[in-house]
Amino acid sequence: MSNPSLLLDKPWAPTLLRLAIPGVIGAVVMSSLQVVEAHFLSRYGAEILAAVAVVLP
Amino acid sequence: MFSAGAIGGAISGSVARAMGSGDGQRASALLASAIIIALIGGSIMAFLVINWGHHIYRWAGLDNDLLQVAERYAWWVFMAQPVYWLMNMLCSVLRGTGDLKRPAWAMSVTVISYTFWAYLLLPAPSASQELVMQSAGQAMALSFIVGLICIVVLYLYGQRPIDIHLSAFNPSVLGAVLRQGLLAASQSVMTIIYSLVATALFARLGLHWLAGYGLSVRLELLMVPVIFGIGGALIH
Repeated sequence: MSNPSLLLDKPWAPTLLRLAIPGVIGAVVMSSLQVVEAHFLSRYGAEILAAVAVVLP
Repeated sequence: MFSAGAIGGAISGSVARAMGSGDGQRASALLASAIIIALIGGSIMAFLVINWGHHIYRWAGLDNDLLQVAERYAWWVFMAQPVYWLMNMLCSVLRGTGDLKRPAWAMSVTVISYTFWAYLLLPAPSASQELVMQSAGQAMALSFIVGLICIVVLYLYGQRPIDIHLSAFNPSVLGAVLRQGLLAASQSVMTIIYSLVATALFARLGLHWLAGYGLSVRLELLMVPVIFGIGGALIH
C-alpha cells in the first residue's frame, strides 16, 4: 500500500518530481503513438492523413 | 480521452483514497468497477462510431470514396476500444495505488508493438487506399491488444496492491465513481466537440488543410503529459 503521507513528510518538490517522472514518460510515450502513426501514414499522401484525422481528430 | 482522462482519473482518485484509508475491500470493488466500466464503455463507443461515424465523416467533408476508406480504418480501431479502455483502466487503477512505472512500461510496449505491426502490415505506397487504411487500423488494434496483455502480465506477476475478485463488485461504488467520471467527462466532450468543429472547418479548405491539421493536433497531444504526468503524481 502506498504511503499516504509521502508528500507531507518529505520535501514536496523533489518527492513530486520523483513521482511525476514515470507518469510524464508514460504519457509522452502514449501521446507519441499517434505521432508515430502519422509518420508511418505520411508516405501514403494527404488523403490518407485526412481520413485518419477525421476518424481520430 | 474518456478512459485515460475523465473516468480513468476518477478511478485513480478513488483508488488512492481507498488505499490511503486502508480500505482494501473498497479498492477491490473499484478494480471490479473499472473492469466493468471498461468493457461496457468501450463497447458503447465502438457501437456508436461503427454504426453512426459515417455521419460525422460526411459532415466533416469527406467524399464517398474517402468516407469508405475512413470507415474501414475506424472499424478496426473502434472494435478494439474495449481492449483500449481496459488497458487504460488498469493503468489508472495502478496509478491510484502509487505505481506509475508499470503503466509507463505498458504504454511503451504499446508504442513499440505498434511500430512492429506497422512495419509488418502496412503495404507498399502503391497499394489501394482501402488496404492501407485497413492495415493501419489493424496495426493500431493489435498494439492495443499487446498493451493490454502487457499491463495484465505486469499486474499478475508483479506486486498486487489490490486483490482481484469480481465478487467484490459493489453497485454503489460503481455509481460513485461513475458520477465523478461522467462529470469529468463533460470536459472531454467539450474537447471532442471543439476537435470536430475544427476538423469540419479545415475540411472546407481542402484535404491538404485537413491532413495538416491532423498532423498538428497530434503534435499538440505531446503537451498533454505535462498536465497528465504531474497531475497523476499529485493524486498521491
